[in-house]
Amino acid sequence: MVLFMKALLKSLAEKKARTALVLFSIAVSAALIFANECFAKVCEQKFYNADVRWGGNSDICMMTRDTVGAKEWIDEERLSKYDSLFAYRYQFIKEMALYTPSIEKMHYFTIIGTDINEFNSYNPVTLSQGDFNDWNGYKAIIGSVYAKEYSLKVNDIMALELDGKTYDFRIAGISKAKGLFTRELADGGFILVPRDTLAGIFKGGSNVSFMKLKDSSQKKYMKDRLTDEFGEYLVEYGVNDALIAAETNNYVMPFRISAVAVVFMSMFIIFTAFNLITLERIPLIGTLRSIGCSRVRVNRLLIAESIFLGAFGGLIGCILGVGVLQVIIKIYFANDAGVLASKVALNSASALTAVGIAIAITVASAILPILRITRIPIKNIILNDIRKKQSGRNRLWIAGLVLMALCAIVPRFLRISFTDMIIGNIAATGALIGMIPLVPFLVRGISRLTGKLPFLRYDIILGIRNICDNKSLLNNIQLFSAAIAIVAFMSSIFNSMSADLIKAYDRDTKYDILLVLRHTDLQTLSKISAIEGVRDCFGSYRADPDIPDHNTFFNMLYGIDNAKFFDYNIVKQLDTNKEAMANLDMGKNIITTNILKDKLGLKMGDPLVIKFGSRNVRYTVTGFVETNFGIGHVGYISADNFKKDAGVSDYTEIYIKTKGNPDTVKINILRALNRDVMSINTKEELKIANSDKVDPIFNAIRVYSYIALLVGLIGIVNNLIAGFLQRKRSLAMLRSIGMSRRSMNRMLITEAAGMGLSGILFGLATAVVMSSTIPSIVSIFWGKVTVVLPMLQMEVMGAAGVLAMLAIAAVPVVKGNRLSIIESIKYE
Amino acid sequence: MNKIIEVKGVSKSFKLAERKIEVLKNVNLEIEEGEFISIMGPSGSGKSTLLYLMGGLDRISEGSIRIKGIEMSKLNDTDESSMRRNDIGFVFQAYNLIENLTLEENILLPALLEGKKRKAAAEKAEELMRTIGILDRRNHTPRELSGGEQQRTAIARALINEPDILFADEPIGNLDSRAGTEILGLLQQINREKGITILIVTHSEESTRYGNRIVRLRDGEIVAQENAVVI
Repeated sequence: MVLFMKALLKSLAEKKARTALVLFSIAVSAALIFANECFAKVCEQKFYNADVRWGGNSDICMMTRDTVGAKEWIDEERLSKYDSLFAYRYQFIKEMALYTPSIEKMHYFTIIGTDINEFNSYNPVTLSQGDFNDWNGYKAIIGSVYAKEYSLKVNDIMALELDGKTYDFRIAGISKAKGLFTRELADGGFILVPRDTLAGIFKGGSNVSFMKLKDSSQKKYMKDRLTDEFGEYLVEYGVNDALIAAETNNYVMPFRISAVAVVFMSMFIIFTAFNLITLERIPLIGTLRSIGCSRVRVNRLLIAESIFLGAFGGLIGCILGVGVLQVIIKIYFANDAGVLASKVALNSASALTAVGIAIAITVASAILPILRITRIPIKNIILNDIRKKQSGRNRLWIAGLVLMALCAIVPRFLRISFTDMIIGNIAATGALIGMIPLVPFLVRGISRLTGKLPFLRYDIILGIRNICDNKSLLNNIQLFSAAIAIVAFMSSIFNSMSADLIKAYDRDTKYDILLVLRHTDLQTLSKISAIEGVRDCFGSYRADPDIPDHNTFFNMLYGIDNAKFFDYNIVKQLDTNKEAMANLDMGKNIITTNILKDKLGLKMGDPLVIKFGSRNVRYTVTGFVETNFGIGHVGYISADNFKKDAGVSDYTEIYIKTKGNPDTVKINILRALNRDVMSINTKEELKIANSDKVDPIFNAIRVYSYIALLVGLIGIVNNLIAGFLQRKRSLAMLRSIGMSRRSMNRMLITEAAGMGLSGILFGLATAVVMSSTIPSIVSIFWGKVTVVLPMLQMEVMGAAGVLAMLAIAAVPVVKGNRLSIIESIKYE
Repeated sequence: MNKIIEVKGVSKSFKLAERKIEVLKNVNLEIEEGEFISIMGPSGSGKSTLLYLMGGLDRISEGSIRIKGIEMSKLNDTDESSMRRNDIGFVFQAYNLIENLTLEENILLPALLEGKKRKAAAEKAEELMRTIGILDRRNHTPRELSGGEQQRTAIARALINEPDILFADEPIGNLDSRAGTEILGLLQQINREKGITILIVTHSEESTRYGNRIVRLRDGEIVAQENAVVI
């Protein structure tokens, strides 16, 4: 057995190029799987860090509510009666501080008054400059992002407005993007100051308290108990594991889907390469069998060999995966200093998963060629009589056509649900699989037509005929078509999604400026209306509460005073909801979207429980509108209900229509409202900010589709070389009867151009058919999208594909020109 | 009679690892138009190599070969290929037909590569197929033909452009004796009726009786030339 295995491995080593290609294909797949698994860990860590940036490793967090009349400070004495259950409890003061170096650069920071030693023991701050010495008086620690933004250094003075008065704080330290400062930009910036100083200014105790339980398994029980007893405060988990898992999945899922494309290409290549390897080893297999090695044993040996290759390729893949991971992280988290600075989460579990999947891919791809070869009778192997039997007419193309047709038709009947998303995916995969048998059928048809064109030279006609008669060339077209189809399909998905995102702001928002104020009252809107350049304005309440019964959430739940809201935020089907709109505050009524209706299976009159803080409120669905904003996870309730249930009194945001240039009006508003402005953005700025958020995702995923294309092209080079080796004799034959080199080159280039054009044609056509599934695949996590084919990318892909094929054709052309007629003919 | 092939001082050698192997040594041979020559010799004597060199399928190391007065080594690939299409026909032991083409298409191939009109070439091919007895198999692919039929097809393909010379490398090596005899008879008929010069490489003394001259080779040298006992 060992000797047999040695013989097999030696023969594998002799086929260096082919073996290297198999290993490369396995390694690429394993690299992406490994990178994905590690990326999931990076994301998990990122979300965990984000969750713990406030309360370290505490289990429960309690804070005061931001509502009129709510208690301003936590009753520490009442809370202290549970101290025996806590491993620790620490609290701080959280307020807002206004920093105004200039009107344009005015910014609200979250200021935290804390005992720095206590804070450091539960949620350490890592300083890049300065120190924690003599933590008292008017000292401050800021994060590196805003220090850079405002060119602040240690010992600089920062004038902060707190509770209407300005205080000069001296910067004692600048923190790295870790702990509390992990995601400064997203959080709007933090300033740490001594607790006593802030307590003195605000004349209070603490408004945030973190608790670590001695027995963390009691987390839920304790949270419920504290919620009941301290109803006037918000009680939340310190770290929400379920949310971290959900967020991680959202990040990693597109990469996992994209990696499937690469795995598919790799399997195709491993299959073809193994086909050739086993074919070339038929004499060896024949010898082994003739000296008594049973078919089962040969099968076992060959499968063991593929396991070895899978494991070896998988290990190489893990090494390559480290590089891929670095690239993904750099592209994806380009603006997240915290993640970029953290150590890459390499781990043995991810490596084991990658190697395991690599082995599975290799064995699955190799099993067919192995079984086919070992089924050949020994006599035939020894007599070299291994021609394939001429099978009858191949009707598989009909199945291919049916799969294509299903992919084009089925999505028309799909709605937005998880099941329909799966069906959409199956339909798209079906079209891709259906393309495989359809390609030879269509190529033959086209060859028959073009092959009869009277003005073509015979060497060109021969080239065209070869394409449809030569299995290796047909395989190339199938492989190339599959690569193009996958890349074009993925481009279509991203193009449709980003086109929708860009369109959404132009299409669905009719305001020019979005304003968030620190406090609002009944006079706010009239004050804004009086500012020069403001044509009209409207305030609304907004939150993103959970929908606990359906394990999902609203991206945007609006509390609206009246239908004027929809002059600023466009939705469709408003006409059919006039009555529902008028009756929003006649009880707990909600109008939601068609997307949520489809996703959650809602009907008019259905109850919908919404979680405000720790309280569940039951609403009744009274209407459905069409909007894609917030991926369609949108609801509209009356402003009164919103204020009561969410416990807020200020407008969350104010929409402003301008008479002139929005940028000028923005400055006017800043001058007029000055300290009250929390944030102000023109529509153009919001559009850019959103694109910036999404583009890195698409860029990172696009890398995967290009890897798939690269793997496909490498596979084609392999097939061309292998095909050339198989055809050497027939090429020599043609030369012996008078075909000149130039004529042979014309034939080979015709083949390459034909393969390129066919690959592009069938690949793009398949991608177009597959694209009909995009709405059903994407809508569940992105909202309704309309398919927007990336025409420019497809044209570039087409031209690049044909050029690549012609470049690749150089391989057989060069080899063909060096062909020795005699050696090739006397091969037998 | 005109000399159609002139081989002067031809040597052929190649390197195997570090060793220089001499396949042909200073071979001289003259062939007249219309001759039917059998080249004989033991394995490794260089007979096939000599045939391929004369047919322009390989390059000589020394000396010169003239076909119809043209120095072969001075031709470029285009002219050499043109000569292979028009002036020379080849028949191989393993038939060397293109498997994805039908019998008729295989025969037409050199004519179409030459740029001849398909209709005219097809008429010529039909005549050839009728002459050599494979007309009823015209739409079959090589896989569907017997060895004898495949070799007849190869002969027809070699004749489609009406060459002056036909080279045959062990044309009956893969055939049973009956089919072999038929092929040799066919070659003799072609030689006699069309006046085509034929050179065959063979192991079989029996084969030599279909030709008029025998050239014997041993270790790369011509050791004898004699007239055959013609049937």
